[in-house]
Amino acid sequence: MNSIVVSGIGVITAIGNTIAENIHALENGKTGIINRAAKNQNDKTIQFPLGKIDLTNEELIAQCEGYDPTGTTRTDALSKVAFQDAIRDAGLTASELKSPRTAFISASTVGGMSRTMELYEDATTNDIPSEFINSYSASVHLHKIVNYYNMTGPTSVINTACSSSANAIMLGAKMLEQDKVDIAIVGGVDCISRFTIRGFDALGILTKNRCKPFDINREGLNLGEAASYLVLRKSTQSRSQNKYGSIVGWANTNDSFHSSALNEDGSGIMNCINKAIQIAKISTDDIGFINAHGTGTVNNDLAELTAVSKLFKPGTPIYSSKSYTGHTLGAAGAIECVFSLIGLNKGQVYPSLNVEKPLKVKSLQVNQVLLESKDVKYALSNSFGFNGNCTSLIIAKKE
Amino acid sequence: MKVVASYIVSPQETHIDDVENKEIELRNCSTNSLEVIEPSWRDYIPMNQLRRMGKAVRIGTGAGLKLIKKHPKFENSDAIILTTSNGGLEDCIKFLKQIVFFGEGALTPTNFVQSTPNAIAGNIAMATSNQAYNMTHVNGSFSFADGLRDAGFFINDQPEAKILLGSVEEISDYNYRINELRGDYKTEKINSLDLISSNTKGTICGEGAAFFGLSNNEDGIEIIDAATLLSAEPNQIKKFINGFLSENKIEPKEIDTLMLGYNGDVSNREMYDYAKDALIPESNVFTFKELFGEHPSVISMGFWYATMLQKGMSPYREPLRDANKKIDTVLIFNQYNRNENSLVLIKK
Amino acid sequence: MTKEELKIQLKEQIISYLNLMDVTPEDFADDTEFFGSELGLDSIDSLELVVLLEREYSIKIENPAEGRKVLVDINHMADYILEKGKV
Repeated sequence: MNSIVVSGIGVITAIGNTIAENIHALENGKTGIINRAAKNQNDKTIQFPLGKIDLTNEELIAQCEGYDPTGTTRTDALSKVAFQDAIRDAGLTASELKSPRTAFISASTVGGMSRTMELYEDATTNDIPSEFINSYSASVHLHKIVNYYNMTGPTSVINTACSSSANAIMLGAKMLEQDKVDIAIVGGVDCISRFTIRGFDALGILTKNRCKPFDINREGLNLGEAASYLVLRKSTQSRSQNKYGSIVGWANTNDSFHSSALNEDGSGIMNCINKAIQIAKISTDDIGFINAHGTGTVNNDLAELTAVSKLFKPGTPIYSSKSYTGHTLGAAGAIECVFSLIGLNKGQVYPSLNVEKPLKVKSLQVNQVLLESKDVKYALSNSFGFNGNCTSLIIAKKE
Repeated sequence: MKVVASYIVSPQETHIDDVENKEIELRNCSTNSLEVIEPSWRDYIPMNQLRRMGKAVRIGTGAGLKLIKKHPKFENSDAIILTTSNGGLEDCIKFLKQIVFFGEGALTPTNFVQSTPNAIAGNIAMATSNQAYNMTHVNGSFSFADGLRDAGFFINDQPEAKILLGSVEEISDYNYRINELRGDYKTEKINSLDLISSNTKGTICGEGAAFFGLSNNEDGIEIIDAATLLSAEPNQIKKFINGFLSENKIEPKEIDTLMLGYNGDVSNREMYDYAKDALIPESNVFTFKELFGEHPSVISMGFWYATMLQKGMSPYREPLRDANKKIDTVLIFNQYNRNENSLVLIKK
Repeated sequence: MTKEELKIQLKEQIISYLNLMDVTPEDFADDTEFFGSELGLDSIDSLELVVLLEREYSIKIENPAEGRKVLVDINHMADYILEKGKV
């Protein structure tokens, strides 16, 4: 079996700025999605509940060691904060970070386009560039970090829409498995922006209420923001490096059906999950719980529940942590991998929030209570993006 | 891993059939903006997809599907890997324009859906019912080298795999303007074919899409390695190039040909000069940005040009230095933004 | 504007909003169904049509069921616009 261990985590989401705060919110079923429209009647840009991190750009940038605030976007700051926490947690040294055998694979969909209006003005009317002129590209957050730590190893930034950071984790794991590097820092970042709010609204898949993934009457998703990085190493290295568990299976496939919808017969998703299970060399019966993609849209939840109902034994618990954080796009795969690790190690399956009438396919339905179960060993985390991009990760608890 | 098929659309007539055996008349533009020459995509892209596409998505999807049509064994590729810095930026700004003009009213979603860079690999998968590995790298000008590496990891796991690797960038009024505001382009207009000998600051812009069919099992140009480094520090870059060669157990003198990313910016020559004059002084030296312009994915076009020369195509222009050596082992060295360094080593 | 003029204007607007290449107003009949016919429109196009009604005729379609009733063919759309008194 592949065993790529997780030896450090940094995570910042709407339910917490640290891993401890995130655990606390999950255990207490506390959502980070807030309907600010009620509070800000005058600001028409806030029509939707959002999973927003409760820190201003200035407060976030102030936490970034060595960053000049000029031209630093919220994306840059969130990624730096999560990166700092991850490397500190893993105890990485400056020379380990500089090593050509340390890879850094990030992911983002909106990148510096979070400065939506500055981008528009720089691209159309400005004669003098705004301070963000060099900040828009999806790779800027990564290049800032690489510069600051003088990193020399392989890098990449993935954008496969909402599966981006699950793919970053997969790519880092593959590089370790093939012995191309000794350490891979992997994850992703996205912040809330007008660009994504208006885009998802145009597609008619945002709800004005809190999202209720896997409810019969679900109305759409809430957007959120987050950043998370995991420090991965190969399991042959010292046992003490295995702080949180391991990544044992992965698969990336394409649903090949529609640019913004999944095939509701579940076939594309099943194909992805099956490949990941095969790589992990386990059976579907070994999966203790599923951290669903579970966006709360009519299409996603039906396609996903249909697929898992065909593959997993009756009663396999499935939940969506997007009911806590909102859909964090390029960061979603990474934070959901982190939440899966937390659940495995605590022996807990978290309840999906806001479900009144659970969608049921065969005997499978969403988990609505905090389940305690110490013998759960493996979790499946799904991530699906526009344009058919599906990724599944199999995650094992710390031995 | 070998390059066994390729197809590119570029500012030159590279889209024609049997391009390696035909002479083309070179385009010499004087607008500082080398725009892509597009063939008709109607036989390649389904009409209902084509009507929604912006340029990056159209040339990317079209070039990928055209490679597949010419080389049907790539129709069921085991991996589709797309690399770009900006993807469909024009659609993205069009969507922003809707936000500005229509406020919080109803917006049309097509620009938003098409602006996401993974639309290209997704469209190719959809058009060919391909459910395999599907990946999009957006790491600035490193993306192409990242894609080559990703393909390498994939083929290590599945030695029989066939991989479709693409690289795309577009010029739109919008990204031209952003780059112009950054001071990337020359303020005076030049003839594009004179780019390399220009003695002023700045460069000219280009666009295009390059696709490659990769596999272990056939004759082709072998990809030895690819690497990237973010640094503007000359000593670190020298160390990077030397380290790359020694890692691949190759002596500088074994490189018979250099493909260098000189972009006509007088302030951006030092590292190319180092490679050409100090490190590998007895090699052939070719350049490619006078043909294709400068953009974050243009290294894929330099890569294509090198593989064509290795296969015996007559060079489009006199080399910058003719060492009268056969073109077998080529080192491609490219910089973008002065600090993004990419290396690719290929062998016949 | 007569109903016939409205229909022609609607066709031109649809062709422009959906960028239907090679299609002229004469090419599709008033009862050619938008979805599942040779026009080959899909769910994204239906969202574009909703925006067309809002921007060109100040008609807001609030729920999907109403959309499905109206966005059938040119006849249905024209009738709906006239019924709403927006011409």
